[in-house]
Amino acid sequence: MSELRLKNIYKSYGKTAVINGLSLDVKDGELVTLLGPSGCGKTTTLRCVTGFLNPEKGDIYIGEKNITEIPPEKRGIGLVFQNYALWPHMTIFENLAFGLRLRKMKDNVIQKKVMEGLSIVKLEDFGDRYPRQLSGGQQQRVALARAIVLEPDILLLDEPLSNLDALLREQMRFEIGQIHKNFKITTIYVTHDQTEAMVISDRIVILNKGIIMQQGSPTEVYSKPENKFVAGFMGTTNFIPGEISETKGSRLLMTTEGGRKLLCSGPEAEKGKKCEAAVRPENILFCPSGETGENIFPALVTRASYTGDMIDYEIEFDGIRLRARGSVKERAEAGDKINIKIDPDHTPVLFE
Amino acid sequence: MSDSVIGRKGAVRLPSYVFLLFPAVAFILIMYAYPFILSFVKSFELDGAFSTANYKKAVDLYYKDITFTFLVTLFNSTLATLLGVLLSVYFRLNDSFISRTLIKLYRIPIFIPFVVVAQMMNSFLAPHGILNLFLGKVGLVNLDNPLQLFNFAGLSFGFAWKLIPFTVMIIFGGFQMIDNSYIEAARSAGAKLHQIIIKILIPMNSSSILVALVLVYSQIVGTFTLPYMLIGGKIPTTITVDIAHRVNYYRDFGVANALGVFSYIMVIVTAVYYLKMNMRDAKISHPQG
Amino acid sequence: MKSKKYYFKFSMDLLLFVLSLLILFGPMLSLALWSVAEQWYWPNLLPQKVGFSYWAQALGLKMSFAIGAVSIVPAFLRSIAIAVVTVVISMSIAIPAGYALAKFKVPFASLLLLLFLMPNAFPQQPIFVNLLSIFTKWGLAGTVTGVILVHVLVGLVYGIWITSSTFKAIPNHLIEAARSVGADSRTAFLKITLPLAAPGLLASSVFVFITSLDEFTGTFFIGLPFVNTLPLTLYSASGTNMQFASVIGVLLLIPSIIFMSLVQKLLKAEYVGGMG
Ligand SMILES: Nc1ncnc2c1ncn2[C@@H]1O[C@H](COP(=O)(O)OP(=O)(O)OP(=O)(O)O)[C@@H](O)[C@H]1O
Ligand SMILES: [Mg+2]
Repeated sequence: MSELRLKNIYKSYGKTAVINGLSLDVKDGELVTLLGPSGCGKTTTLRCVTGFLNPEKGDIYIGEKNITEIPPEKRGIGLVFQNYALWPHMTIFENLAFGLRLRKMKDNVIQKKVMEGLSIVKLEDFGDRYPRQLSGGQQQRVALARAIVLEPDILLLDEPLSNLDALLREQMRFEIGQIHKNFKITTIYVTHDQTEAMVISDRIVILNKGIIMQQGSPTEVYSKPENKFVAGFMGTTNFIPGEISETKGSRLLMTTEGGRKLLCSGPEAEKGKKCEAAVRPENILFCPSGETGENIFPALVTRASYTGDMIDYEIEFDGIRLRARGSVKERAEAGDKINIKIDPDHTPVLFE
Repeated sequence: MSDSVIGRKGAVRLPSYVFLLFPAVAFILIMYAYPFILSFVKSFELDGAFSTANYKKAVDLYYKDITFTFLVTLFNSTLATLLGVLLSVYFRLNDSFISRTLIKLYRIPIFIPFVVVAQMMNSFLAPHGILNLFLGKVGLVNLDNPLQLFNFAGLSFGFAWKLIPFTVMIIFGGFQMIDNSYIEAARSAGAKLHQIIIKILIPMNSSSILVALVLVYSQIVGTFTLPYMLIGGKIPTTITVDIAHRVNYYRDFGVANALGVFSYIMVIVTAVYYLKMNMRDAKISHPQG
Repeated sequence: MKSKKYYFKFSMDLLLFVLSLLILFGPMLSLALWSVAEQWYWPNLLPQKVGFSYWAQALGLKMSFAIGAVSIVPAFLRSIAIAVVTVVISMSIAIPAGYALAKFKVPFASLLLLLFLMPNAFPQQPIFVNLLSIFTKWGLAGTVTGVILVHVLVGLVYGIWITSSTFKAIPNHLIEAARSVGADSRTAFLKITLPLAAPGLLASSVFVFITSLDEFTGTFFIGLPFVNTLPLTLYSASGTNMQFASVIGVLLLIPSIIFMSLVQKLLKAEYVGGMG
């Protein structure tokens, strides 16, 4: 069993608290992403797990074993760094063999394991090269292979792809996903790129100022944000302020500040409570003029920008600017008066 | 900036850097290259004719001192480099009040001239100096029979005092360029402290360690002040003291130059060795280029 | 939670600290004590009588033949004068050379830099020995001019290395920008390059100044017995008068320590970057 559990971790630098009572369970074989803005404490959390930092309070378990006091070299954790950290004076082969040699394995076993490791990342022919003779993407794959040849209980990756260009990043995130599928190593993956997190994770943990804001599957955190921070961090979101006027089963009816009735989804709430509707651009639909009904409102197009595969609109609705998007086939121009429909199923209500 | 050799009128024109460089190059050629070559020429000259007699005489008279110089140099450059590495490793891996204070204090001797160092050592290491006094008061030395340090030991202490800070400066500078992630990667792979030092830190910093070794080595070979003021004409002493002696008392430039050539050879041998190591290193990759 | 291991490590740290302090400051303390010790009989831990009469004597404030010290003021002034002239000559040779090496594609530039490095990489003493015989022929041995020439030789290396890396650090596009708005190459050099290089050139001058002030071996061969500088006065006192020699030692320490706080960062970059 290599389940990883963090229990109520506190860590501060000097007087500033960086991690504030963080608890997190990573199930055996699960890939959990820590997602959050720069400086929110992702690296700090990871370094508490590796043992390079000691939390002031809290305990860390791998399986049933409390590892809080165990030194880093005995934790059985594999690490992949943002800057790869391949030792420049060793060949790729030696980089992979380093940890195996420390475990006093026989030469032929080492040879076999290293070659296996290299073949996992498709670099069988590169064993004799030195790190600087490899491209960034290849170096990152070596760093990954170096961590997994030691068959760690836990694998930690700290923004492993942020030094790569966009195209390579997409390809590498796919490969890391594949490798995780094949080996099922319990993994924490740190990133501040939400698309990356969406693609690769079993579960996303969104962190802000050392506190978990929400966790759940990629679909959950995207479509059912529990607070404004998560809604705003996971892609573009429009916020329409107002107050609750009625609960209708799993639906809520709110009155916007402009006095319109907007139907949204959300749990029961008391009447008159201040709230905001979180509307994703793709959930604002343009409808034919003249159509009326629930959640259909007039609006004005103030900007239309062609981005190639779609059109990015800015529209004005009761004095609020909203971002929307539409297909290239039916395009509106700036200045057009239109009707929009807001999809109530995908529009959650958030409270402060 | 005109790099053109042919001027507009077709006349040959020298590029302007020639004029800028001329005074410096001329000065070095006359004041350095000429006497440098002269030291070889004169070492093979006796009464205006070619001869190897100077070398024979130098070896006959000073073979003890030549050996002594070589041993002093070898011992002290090794010691300074070794302790430089150890201290730098300590400073690199420990970020505490103590290490930060020490790294600042260790800079002081670098800037103190050898004459002053020699004078300090003269009073500090003397039979009735502060060192013997201190060791006597804590009971390590019999005050009636104090340590005699105006010899190999005292000379080595002086060199260590002045040169270890220098090697620390260079080697620690190299260690600072190694990102923590390289160390952490090794540790998470299971490496213990000594394995990290031997297998990661030192090999990654081998070029600055070698630079420190060579610089310290050639400094020791050429230092005149410290041995002259600490040991003087006693036997054994260093080549540099002998050269001064030959010149000041006998005006014997032949033997002085032969001894000078010996000191060149000592440096050249390590320099060549260093270049070879460097070339081997260049084939291997290096983080700092 | 603080384990045995923690205390062991802490006591090792402390041991290193104390040992380092003793070794670093022991010799310096010895020098300082001797410079004010008017009476110090073995084996007393501290001098019996402390005072500044050797200082007064050395600085020419008091004349007493009893303690065997002479005023060092003439030697001190001579040292300063020699250092100033050395700086002027070295820098007027080093600045053009450093500029050329930094900003022009000089053929065999690395070979030239190596040539400029040679005087400091190889033992200097044989050079001084041969300069003595050359200077004797030219009538420069035992003259201030001869001593200055030797000091320039020793200082020039630092001058060229530091100035050339100073000029190298000034981005070409700053100069090109000046050219593009109408400055000719001379104006661009005087108005852009030189002001930007000023701190580095100053540091380099200070370096040459200190090198000259501290120079011993070259002066010993070329200058003695007619040209006496401060380090040579220290040397001649050291065998006979511990207190007097210590006073001069402390006096020579002061500029070095001031200098250290000024340019230690630059110095480090020089050595590591230049020779690595
Ligand atoms: N050694 C340190 N000393 C003091 N403060 C630190 C130290 N390391 C990190 N911090 C602070 O702790 C906070 C969290 O840092 P951390 O490195 O965990 O952020 P992060 O989420 O990994 O950010 P990024 O995405 O930029 O890597 C930051 O505000 C940072 O300034
Ligand atoms: Mg980080």
